[in-house]
Amino acid sequence: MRQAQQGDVASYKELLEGARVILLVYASRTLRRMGLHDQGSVDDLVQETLLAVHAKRHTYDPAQLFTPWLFAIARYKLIDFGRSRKRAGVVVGLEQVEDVLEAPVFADPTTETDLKVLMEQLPKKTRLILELVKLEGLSIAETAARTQMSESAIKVTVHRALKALRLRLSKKDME
Amino acid sequence: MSHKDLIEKLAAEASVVKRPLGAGISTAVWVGCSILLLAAAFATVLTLRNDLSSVAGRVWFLLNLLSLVAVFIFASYAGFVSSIPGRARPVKALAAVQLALLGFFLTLIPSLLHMPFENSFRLGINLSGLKCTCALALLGVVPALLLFFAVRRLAPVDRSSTAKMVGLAMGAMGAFGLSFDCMVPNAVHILVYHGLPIVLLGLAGVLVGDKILRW
Repeated sequence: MRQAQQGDVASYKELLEGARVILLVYASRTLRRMGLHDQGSVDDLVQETLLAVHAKRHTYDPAQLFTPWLFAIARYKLIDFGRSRKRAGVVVGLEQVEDVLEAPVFADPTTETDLKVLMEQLPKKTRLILELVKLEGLSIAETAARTQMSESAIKVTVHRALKALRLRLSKKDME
Repeated sequence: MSHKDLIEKLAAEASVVKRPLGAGISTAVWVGCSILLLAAAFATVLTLRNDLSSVAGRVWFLLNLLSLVAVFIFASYAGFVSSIPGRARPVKALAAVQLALLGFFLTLIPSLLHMPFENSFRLGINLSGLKCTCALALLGVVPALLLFFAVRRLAPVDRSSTAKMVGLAMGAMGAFGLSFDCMVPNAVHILVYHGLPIVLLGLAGVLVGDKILRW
């Protein structure tokens, strides 16, 4: 987004593509919960949100995380959309939303960047353990073997790392 | 239009964007401009109250002014913060607005207690007091428009709350200006014609915010 704010067309296009994938999943799930789900509504909401992202891109602060900004706009558009469509949702077949549900939620580079920024603030060893357990999906025992630490130490480290991340995220939000 | 076409179209419109000022700086700029506007109003149309030098030494008057200043500073700050998507709800600023508003009404209590009940109501509530309310609205309307367009240029995701803050800031700014003009010493008058409009403007913001701040 930083580069997009500088007028970089390629970066902006990549960002919008990534945002589209996230928004498709978000719109699909939330509209389903609201009982307003149909493919047309999902597409409308995604396009509305992309237009809003474009119109209000100057409000993004590069010092802040991108995903909370994106989801705040998406949520805003969703609420407006829900108000304007006070009707019962149309039930659609699974095949129609299959592509939406299969879309990888965290394939978006911006989400990964946000996570990376937060994780970089953790001590090196803690970061490594968290990556092994939570991102690579290794078991506690496997991680303990690889890092030559006890299993209980791994559990404690993961717990503390998650707590630290939560704290940093909430501090970032407060700022 | 397909998503792909839309993205192509939007990406083609990519350009260098001008980032808005931060919430703190925006608040400072708005407060500065509003005070200048009030000063201009006093220099041209209004006249400072005759007893200003004597009331300026009174603690309750100063506390009253201070609470109004706190209301418009914190309300405008909360308005700016809540207009930036992804920012956490400005809980402390919102609480400060409520406390400052409460403080404004509390500063009137000593005067109310020292006045005979019947007398205070008879002298405090009369139609001429509406002039003060009108003056309050006129003094606050231009600063409120400035604030309204400033937050509208951002992206207020909680429209009612933001508009409430704009309304409160307008009322407090108007009441602040009015404190230098209105000479009525009656606390009931200040409560009804200076204080109540602030609350009503906040409520009006809640009611119309959803429509006027849509983006």
